[in-house]
Amino acid sequence: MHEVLLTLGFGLVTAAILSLSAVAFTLEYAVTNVANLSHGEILTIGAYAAYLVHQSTGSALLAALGAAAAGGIVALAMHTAVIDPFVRRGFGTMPTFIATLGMSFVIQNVLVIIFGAANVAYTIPQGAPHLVGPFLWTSAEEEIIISALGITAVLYVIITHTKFGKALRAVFQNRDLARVTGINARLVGAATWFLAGLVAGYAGFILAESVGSFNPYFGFSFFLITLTAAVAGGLGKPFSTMAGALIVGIALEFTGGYISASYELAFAFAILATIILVRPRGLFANARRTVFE
Amino acid sequence: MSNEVAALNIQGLTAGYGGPPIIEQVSLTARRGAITAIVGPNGAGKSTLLKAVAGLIRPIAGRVFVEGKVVTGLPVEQLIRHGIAYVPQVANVFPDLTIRENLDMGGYVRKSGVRERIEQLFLLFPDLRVAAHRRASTLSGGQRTMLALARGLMVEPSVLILDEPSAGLAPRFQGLIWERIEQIRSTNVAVLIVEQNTRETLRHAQWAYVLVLGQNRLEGSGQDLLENDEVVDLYVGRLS
Amino acid sequence: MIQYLVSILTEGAIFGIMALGLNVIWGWSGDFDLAYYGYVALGAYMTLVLTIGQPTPPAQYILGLQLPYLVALPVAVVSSALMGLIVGLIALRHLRGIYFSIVTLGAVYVLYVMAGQYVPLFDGYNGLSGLFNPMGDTLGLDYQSYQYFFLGFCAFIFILVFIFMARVSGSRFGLALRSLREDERAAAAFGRDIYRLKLKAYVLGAAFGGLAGGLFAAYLSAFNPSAWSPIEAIVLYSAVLVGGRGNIKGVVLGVVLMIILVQESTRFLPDVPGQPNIVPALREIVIGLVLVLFLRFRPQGLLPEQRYIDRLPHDRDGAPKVDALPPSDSRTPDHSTPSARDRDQMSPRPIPPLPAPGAAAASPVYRPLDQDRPVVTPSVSAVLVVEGLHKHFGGVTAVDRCSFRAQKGQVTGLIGPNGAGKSTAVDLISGFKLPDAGTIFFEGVAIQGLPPHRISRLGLIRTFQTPREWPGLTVLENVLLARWDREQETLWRGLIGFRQAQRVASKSELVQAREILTEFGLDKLSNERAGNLSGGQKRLVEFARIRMAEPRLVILDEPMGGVNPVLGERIVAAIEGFIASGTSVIIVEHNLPFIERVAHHVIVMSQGLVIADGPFESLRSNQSVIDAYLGEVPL
Repeated sequence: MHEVLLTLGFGLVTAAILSLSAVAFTLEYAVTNVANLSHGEILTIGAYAAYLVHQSTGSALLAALGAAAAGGIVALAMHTAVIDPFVRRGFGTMPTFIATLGMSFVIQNVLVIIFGAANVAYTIPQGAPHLVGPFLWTSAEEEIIISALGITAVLYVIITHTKFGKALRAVFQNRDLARVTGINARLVGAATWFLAGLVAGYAGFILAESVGSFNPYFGFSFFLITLTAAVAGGLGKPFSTMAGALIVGIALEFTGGYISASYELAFAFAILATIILVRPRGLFANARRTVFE
Repeated sequence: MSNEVAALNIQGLTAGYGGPPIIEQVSLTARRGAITAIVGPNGAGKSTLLKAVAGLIRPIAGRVFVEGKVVTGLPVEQLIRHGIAYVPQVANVFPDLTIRENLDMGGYVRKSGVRERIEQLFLLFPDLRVAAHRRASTLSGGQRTMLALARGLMVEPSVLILDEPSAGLAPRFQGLIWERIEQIRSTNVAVLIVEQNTRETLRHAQWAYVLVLGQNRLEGSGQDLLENDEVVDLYVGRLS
Repeated sequence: MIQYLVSILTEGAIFGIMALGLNVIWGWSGDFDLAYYGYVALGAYMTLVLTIGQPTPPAQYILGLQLPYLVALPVAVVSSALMGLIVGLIALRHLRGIYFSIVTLGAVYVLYVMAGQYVPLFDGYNGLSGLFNPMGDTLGLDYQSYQYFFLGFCAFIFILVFIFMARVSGSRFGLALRSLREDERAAAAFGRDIYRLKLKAYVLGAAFGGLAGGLFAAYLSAFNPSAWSPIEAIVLYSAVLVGGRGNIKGVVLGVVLMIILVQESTRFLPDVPGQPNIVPALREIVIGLVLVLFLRFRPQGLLPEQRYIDRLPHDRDGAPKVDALPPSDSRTPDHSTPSARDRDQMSPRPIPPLPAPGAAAASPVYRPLDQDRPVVTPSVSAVLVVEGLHKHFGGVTAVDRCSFRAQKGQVTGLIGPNGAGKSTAVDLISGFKLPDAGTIFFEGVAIQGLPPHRISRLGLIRTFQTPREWPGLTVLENVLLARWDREQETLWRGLIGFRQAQRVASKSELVQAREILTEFGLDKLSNERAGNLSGGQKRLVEFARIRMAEPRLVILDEPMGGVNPVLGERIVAAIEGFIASGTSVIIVEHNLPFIERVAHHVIVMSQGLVIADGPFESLRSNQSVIDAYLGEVPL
C-alpha cells in the first residue's frame, strides 16, 4: 500500500505538469480548431528561457516568469504568423495541421543553432523529500503541484468569470454565433493562444526542473503524452482535459513503476490509440466516430 | 405608412455561396413595430437572404441600410452594434452555457444594463427564468428557441432577424412562439422573419414578400396574400 | 566529385522509391500517414537481421541469419507490408483526418521507442551494422566499382517502381483510389468498398517503404535509431508536397529538389568551429520553411495531378468517332445487373425484420404486389418496396414506420415539406444510415443493413443534395468511374492490362462515355477538373454519371435545387432518358411543378410519416397535403 501511495504521489507530480501542458494545448485547439503539433516547442522554449533567466539572476521565481513570458510570446507569434492566416482563409484542418509540423521543425532547429543540440543540465535545489500526507515529495515537487493547482484555479476563474473567458467559451462552442453576438473571434483567438503560451511556457520550466535536464527536442517527446491527456479529456474542453491529464499521468507513473520507465511512451500511445478508437470525443463524452453516421 | 426612415432597407441584394448567386436583386423594407415576413417555396433563397443581411455571407451586389445608415459588407461582429440581431435556425444557442450565461453573451456588446435587461427578458419569457441555471443543451426545443430569441433581444435591436424559429418544433409550440413575436413587435422592434408555416406567418405579418427562385415575386400585407390564390399555386402547382 | 554525384544519385533513387510509396497513401488515397517512415525503418532493420549473421555479444538482435541480400530484401518488404496491414486495419476503419494522423504518429513513435529501448529486438540504440557491399563479394568488385554497381542496382529498382506506379496511376484501380480521396460518400454510392481499397493502398505503400528501407540499409551498411531521424521523414513529406501530390513525376521532382536543397543549400556556409550542428540545423529550417510556405501558397505542389486524357481518334469534323457498334454484344458485360456472384455473397437477410417498438403483430413479410395493393397496371412490378421503415435519432423520429413502393419503369416522386424525413429515408434506403426497424426490398432482395457500396453494386444508385462530383478528377474520369467494374478495378489488372485506354476503360466504354458527355453538352469540358465547373454543370456531371452507370434504380435527392429553367429542361430530358433505358427513378424534390411534370406517382411525407400516395392529380385536392405544405392553422 505504501508503494502504491508513493507511486501515486509521483503520478500526481507528473499529472500536474501534464495537466498544464494539456490544458494549454486544448485551449489552442478550442479557439482555432487546430491540433498544434508544435505545442511541445512552446515548452522547450519555456525551459530555455527559464534557464537563461536563472543563470543571470539566480532566482527561480524570475526564471518561472521568464518561461511563461517566453511561452506566451512564442505562442502568439505562432498564431499570428501561421495559424491565423490559415484559419482566416478557410484552409482545412489538415493543411494547418501539417503546417504546425513544419513549424515544429523550424523551431527545434532554431534552438539547435542558438543553443546547440546538447543536453543542458538544469539543476535547481530540490529540497529533501518529506512527507505531505501520505505522499513523499521534495519541496520542488510540492511547489510544482501547488503552482499547478494555483494556475488551474486562475484559469478556472478566467474562463468562467471574466468577459474574455466567456467569449472564449462562446467561440469554442459556436464560432459563428459568437461573431453574431459581436465577439471578435480573431482577437479572442490571439489572446487565447497567448494565454495558452504562458501556461505552456511555465510547464516547460517545471518539466525541465523535475527531469533535471533538457534539449531542443524535449518538448516534442513530452508532446505525445500531452496529446494523450488532451484526447483523453476530450479535445477543446479545458476542465475535462485536466481530468484526463490526472488519469494519464497517474497511469503512466504506475506502468513506469511496475513495467518499465522506458516504455512510458509506448504505453502512452496504447492509451491514445485506444481512446481514439473507442471514445474519440474523450472519456467523458459518449459518441462513437464512424465514417458515415 | 409613415415617412420615418425604415429600420431595415435592402436594395438589389445579390448573394451566394461562391458559385452562382442564390438571391438576385432582392429588395425589401422592414419597419419598426411590424412583422415583415419572407415566404416562398423551398429553394427560394430565404435563408440565404437572411444570412446576407446578417453579414454571414458577403453580398455580391446591393445595399443594406439600417436606420438609414449603410451597413453593407460590414463584418459580422460589427453589425450587432448597428442594431441588427440575428437568430439563426440551427446552432442558435451556446450549448454548454447556462440560460443566464447565454443571455449574458447576448449582451456582450452592451456597455451597461445587462442584468436589468436580463430581468426584463425574464418577464417576457418566464419559462426561462425558471430554468436560468440549466445548460442550454439540456433544454427542450421550444425552450431553446425562446432562449435564442431572448439572446437576440439582449441588445435592444432595431431589427430582429428570425430564421425559421419554429423549425423542428411540435405544432403546439408555434402558437406560443407567435405570441412572443407579437409581444416583441409591440416593443417597436422591426421583426424580419422566415417561417415554414406560410399560412400562420401571413396571418401575423403586417407585410410580406414572396420570394421565388431567389427573386422578389409578390408583396403585400399578410392578409391580402393569405387570400391570394397565386400564393397557393406557387406552392402546390400550376405556376413555376 | 564523381563520388559525390554517385552517392547523391543513389540516395535520390532510394528516396524516390520512398516518396512514390508515400504518394500512394498520401497522394492518391489522401491519408496523411505519419507512420510511413516506420515502414522504411522496419525494412532496413529486417534486411540487416537477415543478412549480417549472428550477433557478437554484447550485441543482441532477433534472427541474425546470413541470407543473400537478394533473398532478404523481399522478406523485408513483406514484413513492412504486414506491419502496414496491422496499422491499417486498425486506423483505417473509422479514422480520417487528424485523428488518423495522430494514431499513425503514435504508432511510429512506439516503433521508434521499441527499436531503441527493447534491446533484444535490434540492439537498441547501437543499432545494426555490417552490411558491407552486399552482392559485391559475389561479383568481385572493388570499392569504387561497387559504388557504381550499387547505383545501377538502385536505379534499376527505382525505374521498376516508377513503371509500377505509372501503371497504377493510369489504371482504373488508381482512378478508383483517387475518387476515395475526393469524395468517399460518392465513391461508396458508386460501388467502391472504401475500407478495402484504402487498406490495399496502405499496404502497398508500406511495402514500398520497406523496399526503400532495405536498399537504404545497404547504402548505409547500417541502421539505428539515429539514422531514423526526423530530418529524413520531413524531407520525404516535403518532397511529396512540393513536387505535387498525386503526380508521380512531381513526386520524383520533389525528391530531386529536396535532396539537392538539403545537400546544397548550406554547402557554401563554413562549418562553425565547435558547433557541428549549425549547418544541419539550418538545412532543417529551410526544409521546414519550404513545407509551410508551400502549404500556404502552393498546396497542390509544383506539378498538378495527371489526368486521363481521352485520346481516341476523332472524326475530321471534330465529332468523336463512333464506330458502328453491333447491338449489345460488344459492350462490356452489363455491370448494372447484380451478378450471380453478388447474390451468392450476400448472406440471406432475415425475414421478417426487427420488430417495430411496441408492435404486437408479426412484422410484415414481403408479399407479391398483386395480393393486397392496388396497382397501376397489373403487369408492372415494384422495383423498390419499403415496409415499416423506422429511424429515430437526436430525440426525433425522423422516419416513422413508413411503407411505400416504387414501380418499375416509372418515376416516383417523394415530396413533403422540410423536415418530413425524405432525406433520411433516402439515406436509409441507400445504406448510408442504418434503420432501427423495417425492411427494404430492392428487386425482391432485402437490402436493409447492407453497406452503401453493396447496395450500389446491386444496381441502386443515389445522388446527394449538393452535387458530389469528384472535384480533382476530370469530367471524363468522373463519368468513366461511374461503373463499378469488379475485374477491371483490381490492382493486378492495372499492372498487366495492355493499352492505356484499356486499363481505365475499354474502347466501347470510352465511346459510350463520349456519347453521354455530348448528350449532356459536357464534351468540351471532358478534360476539365470537375471541381472547376459551375453548380449547374456539376449537376449535369452527376446525371452523366448515372447515365453511364445504368442502374436499375436511381434516387435523385433534390436534383432541381438552385437550377435555372434551361438546366431544368436538360434534367427533365435526362430523366426521360433514364426511363427509356430501363432505369426506374425516385425523385426527392420540393419543386412541385417539376414533380407534376415528370412523376407518374407521388408519395408525400410529413413529419416522418407517409401521408399520401398516388398520382399527382389526386394530391392537389388532398387537404392534408395542402395543409402539410402551407401549414395547418392552429386551433
